[in-house]
Amino acid sequence: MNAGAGRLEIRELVKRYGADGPAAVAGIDLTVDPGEFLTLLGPSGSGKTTTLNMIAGFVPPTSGSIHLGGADLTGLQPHKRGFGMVFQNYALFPHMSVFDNIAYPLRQRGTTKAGIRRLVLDIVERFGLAGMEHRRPAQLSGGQQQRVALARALVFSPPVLLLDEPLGALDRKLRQSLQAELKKLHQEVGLTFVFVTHDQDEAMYLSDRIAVFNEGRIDRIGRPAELYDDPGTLFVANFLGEANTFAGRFVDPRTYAWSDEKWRTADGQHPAEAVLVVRPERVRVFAPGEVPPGWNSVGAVVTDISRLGPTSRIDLALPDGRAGAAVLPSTDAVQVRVGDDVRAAWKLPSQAFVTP
Amino acid sequence: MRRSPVLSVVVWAVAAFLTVPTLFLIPMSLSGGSTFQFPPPGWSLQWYRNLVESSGWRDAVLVSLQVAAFSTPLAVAIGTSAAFGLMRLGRRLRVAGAAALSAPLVIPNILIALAIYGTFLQLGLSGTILGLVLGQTALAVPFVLIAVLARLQGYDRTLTAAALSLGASPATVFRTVTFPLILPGVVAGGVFAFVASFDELVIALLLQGPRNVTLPVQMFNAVVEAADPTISAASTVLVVVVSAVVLVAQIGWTRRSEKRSGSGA
Repeated sequence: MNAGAGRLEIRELVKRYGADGPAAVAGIDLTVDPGEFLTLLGPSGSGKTTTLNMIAGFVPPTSGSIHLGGADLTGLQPHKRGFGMVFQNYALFPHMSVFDNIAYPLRQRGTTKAGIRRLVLDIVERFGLAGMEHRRPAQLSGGQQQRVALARALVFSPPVLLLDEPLGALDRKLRQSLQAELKKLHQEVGLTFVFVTHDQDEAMYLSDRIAVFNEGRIDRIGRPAELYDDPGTLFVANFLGEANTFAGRFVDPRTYAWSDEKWRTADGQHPAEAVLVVRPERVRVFAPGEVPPGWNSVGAVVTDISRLGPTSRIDLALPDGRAGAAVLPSTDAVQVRVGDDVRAAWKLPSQAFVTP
Repeated sequence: MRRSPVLSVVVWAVAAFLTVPTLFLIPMSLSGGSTFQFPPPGWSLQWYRNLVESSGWRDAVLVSLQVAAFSTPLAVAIGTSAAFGLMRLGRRLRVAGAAALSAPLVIPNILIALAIYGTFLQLGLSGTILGLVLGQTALAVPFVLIAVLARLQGYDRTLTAAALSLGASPATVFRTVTFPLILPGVVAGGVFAFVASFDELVIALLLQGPRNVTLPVQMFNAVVEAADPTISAASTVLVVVVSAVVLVAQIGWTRRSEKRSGSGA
């Protein structure tokens, strides 16, 4: 299979339904490098699927452009774009066998009979579907159907594979094993993957980069760990994982005030209007007066303690009545009880500032 | 689940009510007498011979087959195209359009027949095969439309998107994916259209000319003029042809879907 035949470049892409209706996609700029696994992540209605459909050619953009390896695809009909695509419900042809499903894109390309046979049997073998060539899609399990859909989208060596929530319909266990398969597949074929999901764990696990969509725009784009540790915006902080947030203000460049608390901040640039964010797993809970020196802390009341397998979770009520949380490894003993007045504390490097 | 015996009785009673009168035709068509006497005084194939040998009856059968042979494909083509067109409209327009196109089902046939009669008389189509074909096509279109529309509404449009993404042109997508999947609807619609055309009386009666009397019209005329058991023979032929078409379609379809769903489904 060929490595990605070029950069996918999207410029100022806009989709408006109706002449002056609201924009489903309100100006997207995006560059996907050859061989990259890029995830479009966002809540439903954030424009990620519309963006994918514009890349695939199913939805004509109102304005903007899409280029692949320098060639303009913007006005091209979907069947001339040559992308592979995997759909949420797999979209296997129910009246065709597994073999005919996978051979379909090859037949459209005029591949010889012998060539089709060789390519299909080869990929069938590689995807663990050997012996199922003559079955109909309805006779396969969900995981097998998923593999046929992937095989069908990859057999003709497309430059880019578009995936529209391909794991959305599966149960958790199967989903996890297919995520692992998908990750391995991406590493093997070295193809550009553009993947749409609303599942943040899936996005974190699979992606080289994640573009977080919010209201038709890309809120932030970056590597998963980077986005998690330094979300940049309050939306990303809340959408990607869980966050304790404190909307206070800087009283001087080194001091941030929220409620009755004053916290030290590290050197560096902070946005003028900034919200302090701390991930729950960075928070530890102490009895008042026992907070280690150098930690920032906030007074809280323990409202619930739950043991979740590998982690334990302590739910907190913050002074302004909002909920907060601390998550610790289950190997750490929980020293507090429900109803206790505690200090929820974190080290300086654990806090991040985001724009509201 | 145990089936209630009352239910069985009701089902069989309804089935009998619907079919027994038709079944009486068969012994009567084999009558050795020359009147509608039941039970027949003796057995004979004379009325079938009359059906084949009398030019009036033989021509009527041929005219009916000829009209159905043209109006069925015409109705299938129009009804299928209309169903595709309607699917592209918004929900409201689709419902309105389907209702308008199905009007021949709810408007009394005699009204349609009178309208067609008046119009075709002016156009010079009255008394022609073409006139009969057009009139019966109009009646048959709704059967095709409804069957195909039902099938299309169950059609998953991501299949079209998938086929396009795999490099198939829209025409190829239709030929290789969409059409094979709605084919059962088209076939069912075609069977109904054939039956609707083959036994249609009212329009055929008004549009009849000396050379194009359909089988139902011939039967009607025969009843009015001189009732003899040839009518029973003709009716039997009609019943057998129509039942055969429906049965073949049904059995063929059941076989196919059994084969398709296979063991693991």
